[in-house]
Amino acid sequence: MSTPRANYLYPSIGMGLILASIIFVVVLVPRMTFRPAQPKDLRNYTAQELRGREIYKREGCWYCHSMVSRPQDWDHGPKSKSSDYFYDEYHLVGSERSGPDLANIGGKFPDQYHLLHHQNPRYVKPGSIMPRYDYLSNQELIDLTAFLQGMGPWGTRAQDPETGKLKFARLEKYTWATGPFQGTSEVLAKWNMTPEEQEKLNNARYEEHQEVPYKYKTEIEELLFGTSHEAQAARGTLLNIVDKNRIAGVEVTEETLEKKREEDSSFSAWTEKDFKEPAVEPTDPLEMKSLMTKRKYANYGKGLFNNECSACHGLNADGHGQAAFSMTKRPANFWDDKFQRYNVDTWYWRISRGVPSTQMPRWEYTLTAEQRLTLAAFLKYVSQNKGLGKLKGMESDYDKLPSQAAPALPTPASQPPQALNAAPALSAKPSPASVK
Amino acid sequence: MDARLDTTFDASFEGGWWDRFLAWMDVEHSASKRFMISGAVWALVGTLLGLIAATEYWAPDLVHGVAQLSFGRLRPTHINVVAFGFISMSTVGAIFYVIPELCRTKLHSERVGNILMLAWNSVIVAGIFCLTNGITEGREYAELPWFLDIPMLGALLLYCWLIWMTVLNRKEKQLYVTTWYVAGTTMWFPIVYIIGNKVFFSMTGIADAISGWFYGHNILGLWFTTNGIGLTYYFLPKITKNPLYSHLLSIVGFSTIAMFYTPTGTHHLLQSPVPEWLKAVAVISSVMLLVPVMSVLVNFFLTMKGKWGMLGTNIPLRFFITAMWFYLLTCFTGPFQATRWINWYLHFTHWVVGHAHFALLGTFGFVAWGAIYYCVPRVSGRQWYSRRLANAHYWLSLVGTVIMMTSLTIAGLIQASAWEEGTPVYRGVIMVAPFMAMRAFSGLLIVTGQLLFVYNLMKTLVFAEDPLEDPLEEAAPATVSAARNQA
Repeated sequence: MSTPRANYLYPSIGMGLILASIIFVVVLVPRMTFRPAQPKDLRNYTAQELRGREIYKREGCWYCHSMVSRPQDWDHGPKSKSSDYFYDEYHLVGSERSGPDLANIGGKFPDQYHLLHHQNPRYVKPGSIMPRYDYLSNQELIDLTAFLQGMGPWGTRAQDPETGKLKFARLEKYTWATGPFQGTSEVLAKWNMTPEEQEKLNNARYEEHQEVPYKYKTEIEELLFGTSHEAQAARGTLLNIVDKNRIAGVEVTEETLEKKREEDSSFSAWTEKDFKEPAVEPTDPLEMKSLMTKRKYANYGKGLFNNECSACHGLNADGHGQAAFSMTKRPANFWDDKFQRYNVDTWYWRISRGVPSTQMPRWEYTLTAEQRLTLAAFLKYVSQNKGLGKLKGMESDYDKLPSQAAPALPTPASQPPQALNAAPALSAKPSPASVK
Repeated sequence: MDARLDTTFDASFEGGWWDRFLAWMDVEHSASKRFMISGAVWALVGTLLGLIAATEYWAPDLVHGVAQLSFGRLRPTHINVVAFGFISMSTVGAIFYVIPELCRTKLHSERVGNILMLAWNSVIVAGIFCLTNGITEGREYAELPWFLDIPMLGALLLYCWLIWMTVLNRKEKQLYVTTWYVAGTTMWFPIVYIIGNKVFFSMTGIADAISGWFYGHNILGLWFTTNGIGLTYYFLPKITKNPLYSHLLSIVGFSTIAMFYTPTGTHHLLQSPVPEWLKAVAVISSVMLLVPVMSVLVNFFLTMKGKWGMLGTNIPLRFFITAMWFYLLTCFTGPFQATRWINWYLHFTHWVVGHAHFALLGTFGFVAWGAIYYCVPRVSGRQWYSRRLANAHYWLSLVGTVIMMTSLTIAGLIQASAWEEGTPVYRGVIMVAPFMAMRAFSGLLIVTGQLLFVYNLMKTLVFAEDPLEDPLEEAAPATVSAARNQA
């Protein structure tokens, strides 16, 4: 053995140095330089949430559920930021997505949904392949739910970046009357807000990506559809106030409502407002006021539409915008008959999510919830009236009754009803987007 | 332990149980043999765990109320048993035979090798217990808890010491390619292991994913690949009796593998909020991986020149060559799916799971099986009990792996296009259910193959029965009827 090491010493040292420098660059340099800032819009985990996080790790949830919302993901909420992970002691980003991403899961479903879902996912999602976690104790399920409800901008950990105050508080305790959690009163509360928080949100300018919390109702929401399907379902009730009022005199129970719905197909839980202009303007001041309110919100939407949508869909919403000619999939013509059947939910959903595989963007990233609702009002108006109708030239004084209105506003009598269906002139002037 | 495990063990040995135990540990080639037996048994256990998990994947109500058999706990157990039990132990067993052969010496210490074997097996047993009971570190491929990480690192360092002492005390001056790979692995893998396990090295927040995936990808690139490729460098020329096609190519392959494999980990995080420069480094080095891969494969396939006919009769060679075809496919798709746009489309889908099975089961699993088939007669002096069982094992594993690959790849493409269309994730999962059933069926084939394999191995080594048929590496008769006539 005549010093065989000598032949291999220098190459070995060289390889070792190369390897050390690579490890330095890809492991140690990120450790030294990559320090995400402490987030202003997220609070630290509570002890209960950390217990839930341990359970999430222990049960291997992260093998099938990722915790990162990527730019290309649809229906997953805002993109994850590096600061979102600031409080994580270990990462749970995951490597596979055999179930939905959970980075923004908080607040999307009520606590009761999560508890039932973990008990047996097939209770609430038929066809789901998630295992049953019925071997977890009630306390563990509650901790896990607390952790999940904290994730994302609508979760319990979300806070106002300016004031550092929590956005959503849990005030009510919930007690199960029946089912597997019967008698458990520790179960986390329903979503609720203090009146001050509600007031603040009512008046606040919307941050980007902000959604309407369940309890927050604006005039426009009330006008259009009460609230969305999702929000209705999340409230855990299918009883609708409108329905209750419509069968006055009878004791309102789920059975009577169900019976009523079977008898009368028009009797639905959701009452859609009709945006069709009446053939003759109503004389009743209250009805006229209601009509003017509809026009007001449709006109809000028209301003937005002119700014954001008319390049492709055209100023008249007939699909003949300037940019339309270059598109293989033509922009929709909202005068089409099929659009008369769209309800507000459908409009709102379509505007928010965009149309995959076309150039229709996902507006929930750029428009606030309220702006999308006013757009939905405008689109309902256009599709039902097949044109801009009374919105044309309606730029001011829209919320005054005709008797109080300035002379510039055409009086009901001077406007023949058939004019509503006439093709609007191409020279419709864009209205300023006057939304908040 | 059964004394029959060692045919060389002298039953008339005098002394207490401790002396007998020490003597049992000092038998020549015993560490190699016991490592390979352990590897074969863990292959059966690991694939069985995988089969249960795969079945739960499309029949979620199959088992419920049993925490230990929940999918989220079976999956890490399956991965750890297969990676650290089956593939690692089998290749280490083969290395304990190959490295002394190449150095024209004996393994530096059989006793240390056996202690290593016992420690390694204990870690796997304890690991199964911990992982099924939810004691986990929560990092992929590094799930073992801290009190198992430390003995595992100790075992690794002991292994490195053993290899280095064997290499330094060699009689043959020239170091062959296999020795470069194995000795190089002992230099870098302990570092990778330390960085990957939270006990030794930790970062917070999303940065933790960077070190996690540094390890997650390098356990493949700097442990399984370097060991498996190193072994193939030995077996192919040895079996075919052809000289290695090109020395230069082997130098290129070896010197680039550590350079290009090490920074690739971040390609698992391409759409996550980690530094962009790190992603760029990962993507570039992933594509550059084509250099070591292609140089190695060109070298191998040209070494086979004129000897392809041997595939018909030589079963170990058949395993190695199959593994290299799988390696070609894995490493040809790998660099491309690490590029930004393809990753954008395919990340998080079953395609990636399929890719991982391609690499670990298709490539290094086959290398491990081939190495066991080659080494067992040489370390024990006994021919394999049954050639037909080995053949059946090969075909069941091959068909199982191909079906698994096909189903997972199709499922991944379905998922990717469904998400692109804006379909919710859980609807996409329901769409791929038939393919998940197919995957579970392929698991059944693979487990059956392992059952035959373990039975064959036990008949050969533990029960020491005489071979039924021809040895695996000699010319077999063309037909079964001819074999009967010959007998």
